[in-house]
Amino acid sequence: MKTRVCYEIIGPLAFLSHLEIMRLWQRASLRAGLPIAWSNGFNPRPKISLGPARNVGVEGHREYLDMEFREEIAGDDVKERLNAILPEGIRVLSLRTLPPGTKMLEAVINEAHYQITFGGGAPPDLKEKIASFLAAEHCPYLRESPKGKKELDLRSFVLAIDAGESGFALAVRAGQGGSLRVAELLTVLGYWDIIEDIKIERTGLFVSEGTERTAP
Amino acid sequence: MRENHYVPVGKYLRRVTRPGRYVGREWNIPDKDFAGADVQMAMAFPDLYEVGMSHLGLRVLYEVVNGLPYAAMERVMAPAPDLEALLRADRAPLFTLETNRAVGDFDLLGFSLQYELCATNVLNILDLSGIPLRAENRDERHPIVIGGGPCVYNPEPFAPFFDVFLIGEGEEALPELLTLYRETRPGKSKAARAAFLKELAGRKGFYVPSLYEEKNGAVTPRDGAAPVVVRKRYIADLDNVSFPRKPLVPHTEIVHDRGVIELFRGCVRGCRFCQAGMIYRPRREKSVPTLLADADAVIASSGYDELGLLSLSTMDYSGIDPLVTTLTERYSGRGVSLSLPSLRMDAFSVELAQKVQKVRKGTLTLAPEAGSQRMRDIINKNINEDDIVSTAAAAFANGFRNLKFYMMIGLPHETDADIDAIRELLLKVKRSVGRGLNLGVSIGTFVPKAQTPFQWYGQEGEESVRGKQRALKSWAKGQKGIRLSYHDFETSFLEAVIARGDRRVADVIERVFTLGARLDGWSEYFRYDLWQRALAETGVDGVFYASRRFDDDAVLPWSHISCGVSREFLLREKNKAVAAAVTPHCYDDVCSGCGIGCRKAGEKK
Repeated sequence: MKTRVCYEIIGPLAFLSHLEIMRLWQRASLRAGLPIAWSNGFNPRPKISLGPARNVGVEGHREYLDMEFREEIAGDDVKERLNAILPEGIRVLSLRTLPPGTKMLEAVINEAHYQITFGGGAPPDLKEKIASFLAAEHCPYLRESPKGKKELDLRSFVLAIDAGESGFALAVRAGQGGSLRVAELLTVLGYWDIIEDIKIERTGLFVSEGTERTAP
Repeated sequence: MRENHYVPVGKYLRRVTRPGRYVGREWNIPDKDFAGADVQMAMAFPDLYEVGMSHLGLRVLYEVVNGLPYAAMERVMAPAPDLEALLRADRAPLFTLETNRAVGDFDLLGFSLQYELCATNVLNILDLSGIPLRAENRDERHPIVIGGGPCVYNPEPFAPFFDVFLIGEGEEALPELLTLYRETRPGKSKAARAAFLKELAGRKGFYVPSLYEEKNGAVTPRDGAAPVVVRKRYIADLDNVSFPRKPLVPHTEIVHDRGVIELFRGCVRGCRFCQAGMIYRPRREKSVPTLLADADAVIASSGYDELGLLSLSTMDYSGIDPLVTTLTERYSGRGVSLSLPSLRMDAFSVELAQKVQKVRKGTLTLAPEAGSQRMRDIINKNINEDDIVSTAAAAFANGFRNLKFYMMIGLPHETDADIDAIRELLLKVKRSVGRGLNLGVSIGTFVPKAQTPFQWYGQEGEESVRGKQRALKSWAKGQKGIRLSYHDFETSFLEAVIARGDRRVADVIERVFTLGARLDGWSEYFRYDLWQRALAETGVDGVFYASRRFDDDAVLPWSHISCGVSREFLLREKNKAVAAAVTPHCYDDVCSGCGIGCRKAGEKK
């Protein structure tokens, strides 16, 4: 039996890496005493698969993961048992049982929404900068990581930006085609290195087809 | 009560690597009002988070203090250089993981001193907390700075930086100190602080360095309240002392990332080079029922899928077979595996390892320490070549393809023939095992430690050690299936300078810290050039401290500290080493008379 868990992660725990979050859930599932299914092989692990990675420091308000159980178990029970043993900052919001054959989260999620909030209010030139970013056809960016350098077009990922009083809402393409990091966009806009107090929240992950947008 | 300064940690997390080290909020943090407790202690582990959280002692004290209704303990670790730079640029203080409060705001600050080269991290934590490095410059506004752990068996190189050392185990002594703090409130005036320290000095296990002075190499009290010899504290009955059954579960991967139970303290082996084997005496076992209850609670409350059975020589636990059998039965269907530290070299141990690791055949570790029988007798290892070779062969036959050997060079009375014997031993193991063996060999350089039979010896000189390292390394290059690694001589040398030093070595530590030395135990951060400069600038002769030998009747820099093992025993063992004579392990009724008095302590079977 497979269950899809929708959870939130806020505060300092948002600084954990994807791998650390995975370990957190594996241990939480064992701690909760849930009848979790184990992977086969040399080094068995609880069968948990996470949705698309968040970047370190980004809070998540509707994140997803799939858990596989050895036996049927009531959803409310799972939620209660997990919330009783999850550390401060991470919380299960809802669960649903997945029909057989449901595709992996990684395979279906293709859109992510973010809210970016500047602690001191939006910079005066925010709207102007966003307008020129959106007006441009391309926005080249060189991503450097331990694995090497990669040339990206940040503009190609952005679906919409909506600037407000204290920051902006952002919709991007996500999933298997890759995505941008909000910090990269903020770097290109010229804010990342000069403004200390910036809060980034991932507000939702979606499966988007044409004009239709659904939660996974 | 002092004012509380909170550090806005979030803005730093975004700019550091592995922010998971600093986020806190681990599962099983006790639900208590840390900031509201009557007596507040910050407990520092002077190394990175992943090392500090791997240390059981820290977790034990955390459990004990947070179990007290009137006290609270929060943790702080050494920051990595990137966080340190951000804090210094902002003039922001170092903070605790539980509440992100400034460490300097606490009533007390403890340090776990596990390794000599953590010394600069101690000073860095003090400095980043705004606490004067030297105890003489502190007053009632500053936390009382306490040191504990194996390094305090020669506390002198650390002495000027500490208000008090706790010698021995802390489960009873630390609450005693905290109670005294609560009753006397040393934070109210300079006089109250001095009176508090003086009162402590009169109690067993507390060494207050400011009440002692050095004259002609002897550290002696200069106050009637302070004893001539400070004796260690230890817990008589481990079944009746609290153990962290709800361990903190770190979010970021740590070095020993598993649940642990502690089978016993002390060791019956009596290896003459081993400080742990002396200072943790007597051997005190926990009962099998207690350990099973510990194990169940640890696994259930943590969600760990691995349980480590911890002790100095785990296989020597008298109930090891029933314990491992029961744990294996209980956990094998639940995806929880057991892990054993190094293996005793006999057939029983291989059988046990086989039982424990049915599926995951990890690396098995053996510690023959020396290549020749003569040298193994000198160090009192009490095993012969057959034991080593047949254990390795049995392990291989049972499917363990990866073996690790711990060997040492630079031991007392070592000759070239003993180095040749290391090669011969490794070859013999390889030949008797057959194809497909991966043998990792770690060659350590011996550091003569305080409170051991070898404390009178000096460390072997650089040229000679390097020559032996080179010879072994070039030989191993041509050997298929054998990988050889050794520790840098520089690190072992500085370890010896501090382990064998006196108060003058503190000047070197302070100087090298000022020059920028940090995290010296990490090869990527270690700067030997800074240490050389600090030695030169302070005029301290490092080679003198590392390599000096003491006469049998000399007063040692640590003669005022006692781990309970008598000087006479240590000397007797040293003289037996000279004759390559062995002392049997203290099993059964064979007592070698070390002076710890374990018959009185009530050893259990």
